[in-house]
Amino acid sequence: MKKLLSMVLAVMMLFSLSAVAMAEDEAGFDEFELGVEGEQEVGFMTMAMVYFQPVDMAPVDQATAKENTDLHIEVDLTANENGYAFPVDQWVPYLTIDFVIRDTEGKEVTSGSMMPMAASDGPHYGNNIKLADGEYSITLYIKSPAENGYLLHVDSETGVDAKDGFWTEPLEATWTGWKFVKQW
Amino acid sequence: MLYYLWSVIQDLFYTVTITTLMHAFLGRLYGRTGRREHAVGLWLGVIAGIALAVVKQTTNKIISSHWNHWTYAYLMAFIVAFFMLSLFQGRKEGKKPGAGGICLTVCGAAVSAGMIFFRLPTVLLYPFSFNTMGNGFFSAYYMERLGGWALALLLLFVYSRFLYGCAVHIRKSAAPRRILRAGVLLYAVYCLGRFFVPWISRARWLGWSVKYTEAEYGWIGSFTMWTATNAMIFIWAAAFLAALLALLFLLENTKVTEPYEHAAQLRKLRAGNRKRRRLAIATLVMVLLFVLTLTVVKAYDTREVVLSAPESYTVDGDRILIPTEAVNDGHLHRFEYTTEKNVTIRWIVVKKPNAATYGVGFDACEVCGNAGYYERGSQVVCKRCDVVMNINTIGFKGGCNPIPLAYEVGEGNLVFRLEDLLAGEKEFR
Repeated sequence: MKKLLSMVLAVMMLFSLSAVAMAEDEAGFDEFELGVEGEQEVGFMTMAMVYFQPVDMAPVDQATAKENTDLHIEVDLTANENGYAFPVDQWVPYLTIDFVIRDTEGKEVTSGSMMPMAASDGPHYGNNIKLADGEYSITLYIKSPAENGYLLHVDSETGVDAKDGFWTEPLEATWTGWKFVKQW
Repeated sequence: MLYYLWSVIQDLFYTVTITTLMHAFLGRLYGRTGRREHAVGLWLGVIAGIALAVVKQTTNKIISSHWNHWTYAYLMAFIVAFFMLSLFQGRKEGKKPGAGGICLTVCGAAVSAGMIFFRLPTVLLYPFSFNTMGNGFFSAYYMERLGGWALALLLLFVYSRFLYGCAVHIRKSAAPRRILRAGVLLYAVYCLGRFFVPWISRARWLGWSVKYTEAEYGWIGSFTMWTATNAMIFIWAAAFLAALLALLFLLENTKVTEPYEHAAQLRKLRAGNRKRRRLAIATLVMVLLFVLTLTVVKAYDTREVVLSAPESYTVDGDRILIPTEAVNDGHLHRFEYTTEKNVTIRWIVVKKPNAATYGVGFDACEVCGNAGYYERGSQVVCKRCDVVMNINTIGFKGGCNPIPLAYEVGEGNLVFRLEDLLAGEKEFR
């Protein structure tokens, strides 16, 4: 019987101690790509959407608490060549990004806004949201920085190339075939 | 409170059912030895779960999805081994375990440990994620949530005791064995569906180019989605199996079948039957309670809130007038204005407590869009994120506060300028 007990103990100890062993090997978080489109060119930006477990954000009174939410959704974006003088390959600030998530029948499931924020991997727009497992599409409506009071120089000496200013109607981009299965 | 009541039950019901049946099964097979060795597995699962929860909460070393996938692989291996061994080892009860019996016990204990390890950290960490709105551990917000969490754990413990009693005392030895096998197999199917594709996607660690797409995974992807969107079916199946065991136990104790020699012995046998029937009924009641919690209570807790109807006002040129007496009651009042572009703009008014001022803002916020706000008791709550607003800060900019809307008070009215209202049109498009 001692052999049996030793065997059980050995297997279980190996199992429980693996927590520490595995923890030493990895750090950070795992992002899951969203939709079948992958990266998309939207206006002068390259955008990709990812999601992972809900996160804590601060200040707490300005964030959606992770309680009662199912995932954190992010849009990672960088500027391409543009007339607004945003640095190429860098994040673009001052955007307002609204989203609508629809099911496979096109019915709106939820909607909201992505907030500007930073994680350990850099700045992005994101939010915690509540969503059941299922297949969805998500459409982003990207409003111009002008709506958040971002100005452009437009004089001939110091002005940007895009002297007509920012876009006036929201840019749109949709990711489809998003199979959301909570993995945390 | 309700959220944590049904969430904990949903998270742990299957695990509690299977580990309880496993404990009874191994106990029936190998007596104290089986129970003791299985208990070692149970406790190691608990210890490992607590260890993972602590590391997860205090460091950034835990990637939940990775852990789930490894646990899935571990569980699949031991479930298959347990199932195969139980086909050959699980018939004769009350014997000393041989080599096969030792393997069966180890695999059974390993399955229970894995199931507990899999679900326990999530449940243990709930109290660390309660949204107390900055009111701390001793606030009513926290205690209310903690109450739901603790009640669920208590109910699951009581259920486990009742189910264990049924599984140990039922005379049909094949019943707990077959029910356990069915439960374990179903769990394997659930794990397979839930994690198969993400697990395959881990193959990229091995340098393979594998991406989860419909085209590449076909029916497997569909199966994954089916198990994900129908996860409750597996819980109902576990509830059915537990109820079936209790029902069989109840039926075999409806009348005395054992031989007896005199009336006193018959009375004793009847008393024993009565006691066992009560145990069976108590188990059935607990299963029913859980089913109701996961249907009625959950539906009530997650019901969609319907915003209150908009109220009337007077238009005076480019001004909108709302009599102060109509909004002085401290309750939330909602108003609507439809623009020329056919966009319906909503705004809310609530008189601040113990003040002469009003909390006024669009029925939308910068975080949650135009989901709107509703009144829950004396609280104003965001419909989308369930955040409770501080009524005194409604009208201030930022976070989930309603987007501020300018107004004036004059001649007994709240006065809004149409121009200010139209500035919020973009929020409602």
